[in-house]
Amino acid sequence: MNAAPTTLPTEPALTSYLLRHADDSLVHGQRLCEWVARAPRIEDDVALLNIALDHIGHARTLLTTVGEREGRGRSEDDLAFGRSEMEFSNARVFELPNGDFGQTVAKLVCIALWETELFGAWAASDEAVLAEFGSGAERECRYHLKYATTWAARLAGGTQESAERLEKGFAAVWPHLGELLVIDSLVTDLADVGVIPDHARVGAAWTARLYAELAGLGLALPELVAPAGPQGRQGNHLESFTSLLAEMQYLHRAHPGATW
Amino acid sequence: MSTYTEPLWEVFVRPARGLSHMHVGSLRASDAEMAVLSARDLYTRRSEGVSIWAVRSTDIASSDPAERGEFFETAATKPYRHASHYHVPDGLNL
Amino acid sequence: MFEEIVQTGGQIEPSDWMPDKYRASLSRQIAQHAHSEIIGMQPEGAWITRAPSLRRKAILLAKVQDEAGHGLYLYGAAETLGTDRAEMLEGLHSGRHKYAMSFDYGMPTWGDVAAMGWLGDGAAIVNQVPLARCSYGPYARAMVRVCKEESFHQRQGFEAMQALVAGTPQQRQMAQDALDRWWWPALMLFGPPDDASPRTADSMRWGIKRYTNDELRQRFVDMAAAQADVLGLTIPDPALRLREDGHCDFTLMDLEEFTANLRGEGPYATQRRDHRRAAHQDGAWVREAMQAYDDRVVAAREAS
Ligand SMILES: [Fe+2]
Ligand SMILES: [Fe+2]
Repeated sequence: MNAAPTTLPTEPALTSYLLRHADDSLVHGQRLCEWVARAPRIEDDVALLNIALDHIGHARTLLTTVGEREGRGRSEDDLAFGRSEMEFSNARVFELPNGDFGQTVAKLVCIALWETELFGAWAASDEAVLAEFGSGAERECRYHLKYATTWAARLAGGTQESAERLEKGFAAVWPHLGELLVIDSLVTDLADVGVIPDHARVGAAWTARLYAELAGLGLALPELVAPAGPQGRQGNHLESFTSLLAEMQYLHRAHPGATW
Repeated sequence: MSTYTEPLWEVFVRPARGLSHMHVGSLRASDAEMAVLSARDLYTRRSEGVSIWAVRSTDIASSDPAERGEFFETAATKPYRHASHYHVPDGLNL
Repeated sequence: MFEEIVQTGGQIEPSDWMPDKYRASLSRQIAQHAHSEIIGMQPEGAWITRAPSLRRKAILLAKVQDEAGHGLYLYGAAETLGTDRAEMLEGLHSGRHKYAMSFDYGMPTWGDVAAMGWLGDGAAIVNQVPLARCSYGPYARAMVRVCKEESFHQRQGFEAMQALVAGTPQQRQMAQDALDRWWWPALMLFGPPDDASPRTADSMRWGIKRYTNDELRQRFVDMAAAQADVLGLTIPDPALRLREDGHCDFTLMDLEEFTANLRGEGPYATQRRDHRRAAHQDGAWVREAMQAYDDRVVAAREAS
C-alpha cells in the first residue's frame, strides 16, 4: 500500500479519527483516577495511578495534535473541558464505571489488549502522526497489560470469591466491547487510502488474544459482535457519562478564560 | 478479616548498563512476579534503572554483626595489600 | 559501639544492637511518617478528577503517586526495626497510631491544592532534609529518595500559586483564602514547641533529630515569608515581620487547637481514618485471593 501524505484528502477524517482515540484515553484515564486512595493495597494505588497517568499523557498528545490539525485554535484543555457529552467520541467501554477491583482488572485486560494491538498497528503505519504516537503508547500499554493479566491470573486462581468477582467483572465489561469492532465509513475511508491500519485485522487480532486470555483464566464468554445503532463514537453515551464530565469539567468551566 | 501479610522482598536496581545492581529498599509482594511489577512502579518512576532484581528477604544469607571483628577488622593489619603502600620513584609510570 | 556511632554522626544498621528505647522511638516516628504520607493522599487525591487543566491533572497524579511511594518506602524502613506492615496499618486503622494531623484540615478549593504543595511540601522538605542524615540507615536512605521527590512537589505547588495570583480576581482570592487556611496547619507540621516536646532531647542525643522543632519551624517561616512576598500574598499573622538578623518574628499556632488535633479532634480526622479503613476492608478479598494463589500455585511450582 502506498503511503498517503497527510494532506487535505484525508482531512477532516484523520483528525476525527485521532479525536476518537484521544477521547478513549482521556475518559479511561479519568475513570482510573477515581481509584486514588481506594486500592486494595498501596502498591495498587501506585500502579493504577501510573496507568491513569499514561492515559492522560496519551490524551494530551492526541488532543494537542487534533487542536493543531483542525486549525480552530483549540488547545488540549479547550477540547477536554469545553465539549459536551454529545461531542465526545470515545467508545463506551472506556467510560464504564470502575466497579470493584475485579471489574477494573477485567476492564484493564480488555482495554490493554485492544490498545497494544491498535497502537502496535499505528506504530507500523506510514502516517507519521500515528507511527510516532503508536510506538511510545504501545510500549506503555504492554506494561498495563502485564499488570492486568498478572492480577487476573491471581484473582482467577485465588479464592472462590475472587474468581466470581473477576468473572462478574468480565461479564459487566463484555456488552460494551463490541463497539470496538464497529468499522464505519470514517475508518474504511482512511484505511482504504492507507492512512490508518486495517481495523478488521486489528479487531481480529484483538479478539483472538482476548479469547485466549479468557480461556487461560478458565472463563468463557460469548463471541463479540459489532452492535448496530449509535454508540459512544457517535456521541451516544452511558447515563453515568455526564457525571464523569461534570466532575472533570466543572472547575475549568466555572472560570472561563482563566489560566491555571 | 484476613491478617495475611505478603512476604518481604529486597529490591536491587541496575541504574544503567555497565553498573551493578544496587539495593534500593524493600517491598511486600505475594510472589516474584508481583514483586518485580511493584518494584518497577515504586523504585523506577524517574528512569532510575534498566534492570530489577527482587530477592526474598529471608533468602539472603548475611554475616553475623557480632562477628564483625574477626570478619572485617583483621584486614586492616595488612596495608601491603594496597598499591598505595609502596613508594614509587618520581616520574616512573608504575 | 551504639553510643560511639551515634555520637560521631555515623549510622546504625538494622542488624546492629540498639537500645530498646531507640528502636521503639524510631519505629513510632517512621510509622507515623508513613501514615502521614498515606493519609495525605486523600484530600489531594480527591482533586485529581477535578483538576482545572490536563497539565495540572498529570502533575497532581504524579505527585499523589509519589506520596503513596513515600508511604511504602517508609513502611519498608520501619519494617527493618521488626514491626511488620500489617501491624502498622492496624495501628493506623484502629486509631492507635498518630499521623501528621495537618491533613485533618479540609481542602475545599483548588487553591488548597496549590497551597498544600507550596506550604505543606515545603514544610516537609525542611523537616526531612536533616532526616536524610539521621542515625538510622534505612530511614536516612528512604529520606534521600523522598527529599528528591518533595522538591518537585513544592515547586509545582508554588507554580500553581503563581498561576492563581497572576489570574482573575477570583483566582487571586482563591490563593489568599487557601494561604489563610493552610498557614497554621503548616506550622503545626513541625510539632509542639521545644519546651513542650518531651522526646526531643532523646531524639537529638541519638541523632534521629538534628534540629529541634522550633529551629525547623523558624527556618520554614523565614523561607515562606519571602515566598509569600514574591506571590504578593499576605500571611495571616499580623505579628509576622522580618528582623534585622534576617529571621522573622512570628506567632506560634494556637496550642489548644494543636493539642485537640493531636487527640484526633481535627475537622476531618474521623473521615480520613474511616476512608482509609474502608479502602483496606474493601480490598480484603483481593489480598485473600493473593494469599490463596500464593499458597497454591506458587507452592506447586516450587515443589515441581
Ligand atoms: Fe511525601
Ligand atoms: Fe510531597
